[in-house]
Amino acid sequence: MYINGIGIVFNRGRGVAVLRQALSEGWRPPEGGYPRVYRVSDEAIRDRSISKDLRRTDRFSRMAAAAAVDAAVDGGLSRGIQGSTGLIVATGFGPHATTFKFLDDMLAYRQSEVSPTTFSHSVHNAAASYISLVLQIHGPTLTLTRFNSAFYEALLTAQSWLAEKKVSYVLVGAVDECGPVFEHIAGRKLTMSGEGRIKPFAFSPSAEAVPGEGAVFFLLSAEQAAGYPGIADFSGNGMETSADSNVLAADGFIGDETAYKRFAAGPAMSFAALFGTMPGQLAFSLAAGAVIVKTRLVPHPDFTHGEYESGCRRSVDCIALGCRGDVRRIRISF
Amino acid sequence: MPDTKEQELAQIREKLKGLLVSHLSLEGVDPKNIKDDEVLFGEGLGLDSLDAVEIVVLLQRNWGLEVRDMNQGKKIFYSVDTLARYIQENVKK
Repeated sequence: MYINGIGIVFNRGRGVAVLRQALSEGWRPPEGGYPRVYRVSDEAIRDRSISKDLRRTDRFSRMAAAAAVDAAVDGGLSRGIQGSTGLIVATGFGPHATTFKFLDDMLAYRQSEVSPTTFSHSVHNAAASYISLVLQIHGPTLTLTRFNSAFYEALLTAQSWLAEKKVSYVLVGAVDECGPVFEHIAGRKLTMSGEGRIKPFAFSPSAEAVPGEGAVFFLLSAEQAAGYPGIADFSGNGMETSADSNVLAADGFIGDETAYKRFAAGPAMSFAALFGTMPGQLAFSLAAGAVIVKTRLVPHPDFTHGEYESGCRRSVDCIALGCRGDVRRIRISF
Repeated sequence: MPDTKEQELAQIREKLKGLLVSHLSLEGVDPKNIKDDEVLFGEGLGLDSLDAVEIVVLLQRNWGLEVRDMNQGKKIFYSVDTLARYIQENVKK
């Protein structure tokens, strides 16, 4: 299974070029006051080419659609093959900001005075519906929601669709929004970083978090194209890593990050400090890893650990740990 | 309080235009640029059936008015002016 295209929306902006620049520039504190949050700007998700179709959407669906469209464009997904393209959206919390807005409206108004549009956007499949509308995708569509490893399972599903030749392409991605409810819960349940900096290489038993949001999508197929690496291997609870480097999705979400240390014996990277704390961190790690492998980019020292020397990285293991110590590993390589 | 019925109508129109733009997420539309007699659906502002449902909600929330008869609704929802006149004539004071 190969990556044909990548689309990304995150706090620094939109697109692979912006991601490359951010990987080179290093860490920046999140903008705005307390609570510190890595937020996507409205400008990044304002898209005149698709705005007519997205007029009624919320930020969650806009972020997802922007990244998905960019991945399709980056991968050269042309008209006429949408019927053989599948779509899988992975999310930790879904459009929870809209869901809670709908619930607030139910309390504030009578049932007959609640917006049906708000309701329709509060369901988790809303983003997938908009993406399929904008890209005219007629293949199977799925939304996976889990606090942990939703993206990992989305990739497994994509792989099975391609192996079964159910579709020729799968557009698979992760999206999460940092709404007021997530911010509130993060403030109570996570150890928030006062300076707004995630420290993935501290391997702390009470790792600090900075909530983030964004969307990242990958156009996948069984054929190699566009010069991106392939997704060579998956491993649930697999402890073996033998890639040139590991990308750790250590973003403070699970709290105790001491178990990440065993994956940092060799050269290691982490981009959690770039993207912020969110359930889809593994997907963002994969995007960063794929760009580094493709372009041979040497990331800024803010994002590396140990004896990380410049040079060609032909394989990278992206690793995320779950709350119960479970390990999710995705290997990308040429 | 407005001095005359015409002033009251103008205030309702102004409020309506703002609510239409914000409630219906009409990006790039300035409420001040919406004409009083501009057709809301199809031509003109280009609203559709989903917007009509949102306008029903908007009328209920802001003025406590219910529009149940869709034949009646077609006349009421024709323009900002027809909507404003319906509100002025039917809202309980």
